[in-house]
Amino acid sequence: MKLNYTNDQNSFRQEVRSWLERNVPKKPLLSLDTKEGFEQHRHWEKTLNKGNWSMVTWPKEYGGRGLDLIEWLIFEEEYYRAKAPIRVNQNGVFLLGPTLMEYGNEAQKQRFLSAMARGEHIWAQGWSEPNAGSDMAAIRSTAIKQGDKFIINGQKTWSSRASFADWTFGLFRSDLETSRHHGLSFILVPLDASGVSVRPIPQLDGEPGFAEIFFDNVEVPTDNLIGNEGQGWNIAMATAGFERGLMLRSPARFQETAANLIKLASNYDNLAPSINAALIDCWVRAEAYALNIYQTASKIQAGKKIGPESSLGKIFWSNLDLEMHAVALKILGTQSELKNEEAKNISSWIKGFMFSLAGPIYAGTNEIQKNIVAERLLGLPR
Amino acid sequence: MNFTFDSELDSFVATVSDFITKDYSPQHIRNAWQQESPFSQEKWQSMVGLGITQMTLDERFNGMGLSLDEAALVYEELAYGGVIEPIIEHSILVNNLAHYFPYDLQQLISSKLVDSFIAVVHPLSPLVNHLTQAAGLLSINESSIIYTDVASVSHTILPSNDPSRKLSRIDNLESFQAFQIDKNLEQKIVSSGKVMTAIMMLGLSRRCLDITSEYVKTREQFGKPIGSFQAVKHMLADVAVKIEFAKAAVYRAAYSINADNANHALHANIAKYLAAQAGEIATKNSIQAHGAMGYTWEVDLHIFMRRIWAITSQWSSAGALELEIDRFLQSNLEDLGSTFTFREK
Ligand SMILES: Cc1cc2nc3c(=O)[nH]c(=O)nc-3n(C[C@H](O)[C@H](O)[C@H](O)COP(=O)(O)OP(=O)(O)OC[C@H]3O[C@@H](n4cnc5c(N)ncnc54)[C@H](O)[C@@H]3O)c2cc1C
Repeated sequence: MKLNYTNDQNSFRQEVRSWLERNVPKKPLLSLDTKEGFEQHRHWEKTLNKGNWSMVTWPKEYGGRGLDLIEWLIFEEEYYRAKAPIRVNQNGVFLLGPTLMEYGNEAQKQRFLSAMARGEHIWAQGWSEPNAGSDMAAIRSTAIKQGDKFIINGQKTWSSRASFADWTFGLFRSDLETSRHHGLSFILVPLDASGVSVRPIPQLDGEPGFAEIFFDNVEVPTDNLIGNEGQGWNIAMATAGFERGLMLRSPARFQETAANLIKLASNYDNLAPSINAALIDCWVRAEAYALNIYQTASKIQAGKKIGPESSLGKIFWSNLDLEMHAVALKILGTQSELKNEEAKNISSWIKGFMFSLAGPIYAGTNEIQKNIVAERLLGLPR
Repeated sequence: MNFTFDSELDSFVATVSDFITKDYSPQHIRNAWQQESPFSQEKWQSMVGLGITQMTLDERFNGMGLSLDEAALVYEELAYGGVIEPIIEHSILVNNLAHYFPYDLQQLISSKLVDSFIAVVHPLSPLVNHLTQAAGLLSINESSIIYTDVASVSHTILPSNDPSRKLSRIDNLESFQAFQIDKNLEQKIVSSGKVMTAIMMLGLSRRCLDITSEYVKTREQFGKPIGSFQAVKHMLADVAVKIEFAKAAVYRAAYSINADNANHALHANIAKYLAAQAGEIATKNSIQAHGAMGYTWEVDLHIFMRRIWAITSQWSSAGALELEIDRFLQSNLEDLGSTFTFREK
């Protein structure tokens, strides 16, 4: 064990910091769930790519820097410290990227990774369906192979960013003879293909952060199949592992929220002891999360795989995020409902609170994660 | 930056785990409770034989000179076994720190470090466990360490709710030798006490969870194992989450002690805070998942629950930890945030 950064890691941090200081837009971008804001965020992805910062862990040939996970964590820490824009392409760079790296063929890597890094393809995840939420193996949308094409029919829903995105990575039933998690395939579909229609769904904040996607005899070349036909469930589970375990929610995000919360509270005299206790608890948990992720990253680097443990992390960060925002609203009291743009330091908490309520739902609900922990880690009967 | 354990220690942990399974069964603990003193010299010597006391002991005392973070998993395993003899205490509070002690004190105790047990008393842990079995007592405060032969300590035995613990209140020291120490060393001892308790808490909480997971797989109601009911699954998953997210904080705090990290006190507070929470939910949910069986003397669960309840407030209570963490936060408001965790001062 060695819990210090190396000189190289320290200078890497400085490099990230000074680049971000020069490049992070001074004026906050519009919401990424508006057409204009989405394009602003896409432009930011391009800027990131010009500095080779799209995904530092990717090999250089795909637009990365060939760095390790510790350096990725350092990058993330600086990124959140600099209050840089939300990554509109997080579905791509954090979820599909690692999936392609593991399961994609060379041509697919060439074709998709660099375009993703350049912000040319912004990705949406197309897994959930109206009747396949927690029970994802109940997927009904089909992709039937005909020659060198798949013909896709059906419907996806709750697909984040899909309102304005370019592509979706979907799970489809490619073998009608089998059921449940057999016979599913992981297929990439351009959202401008003929037969695709997207219907944006306004979220709790009123903006169309996710969408329904309808597929009506959409033709997709078989080159867009990731891995083998019928292997989709296993590939999706690997993607979900990245999502829950490490990539989707780097600790920096929660550490910044925790620090902001402590600072917010320091402006108020005579907070109730229960509020104070909750503040401390939140800050300590954000630290615990960071430490755990550093340990996880080290383990992965030492060649270990993370399996169902990633469910522990998902439960932990989503509850923490929710609690931090709930405490902030208690501190803000009668101010907490205000939405005025001029006082972002206040209004960001109610907005963040609403989004934090989605944390225990997306990426697999926490109830499902607890089932996974109990059955796969503790060995309890199904 | 490398947050993994040295793989050379894997076999050490496996050996200790084996020892716990074969030689330190709950039945042994129950038998020991029947004795005048539950401390077994034979078990102590077996553990010495495994090299436990030498692990963190500096090479100048014929130790292996491992740092506390490297040895942590071994102590965790011993705590998992519920060992009665205070070998974890001796190893962490005395042996891991002995080379920082004043030279004359080192000379005085050096021959006792590998084979025998030296007890420690401090205002944050004022009752001494198994004093009568000790080869000496170190009384620590902010400015000094006082060394006493056990024969010159007058003390009163106090019963503990955990029959594995034989506590003494120190009434008077008849003859002793005092050594001045600086505040840094005292703080390091306090941090060690907190980290030690946290390490034990991890092992004990894991034991409660394991016992309970096994139980719910076999106990049936409504025609199926109770472990197939989701309410039961979720109770145990909640325990697993708390244990998992205490671990890294505990190992980092252990690391900070030997690495002389300027924030070791904060790290120790965080470690103990999280580990105590894990212990709390592990006991509460384990007894709940056992039903009335969990409320009996007969089921082994209580052997480990009692230890958790007994040690949770040693080396500072949850409330005291919160106050200290709060003071740190208030005086470092501008340093918090995403780059805080491993920042060096
Ligand atoms: C903000 C947000 C973004 C999202 N983004 C995407 C995306 O980009 N792509 C995508 O594919 N999906 C996305 N989702 C969908 C998400 O993955 C699903 O909402 C989730 O899997 C739950 O499915 P459901 O909504 O159908 O709820 P249901 O499955 O109907 O669940 C409702 C409730 O019942 C509980 N429940 C269900 N089954 C069980 C069980 N077996 N045991 C215990 N409790 C159970 C659930 O835990 C939940 O509390 C997003 C969701 C949100 C909120």
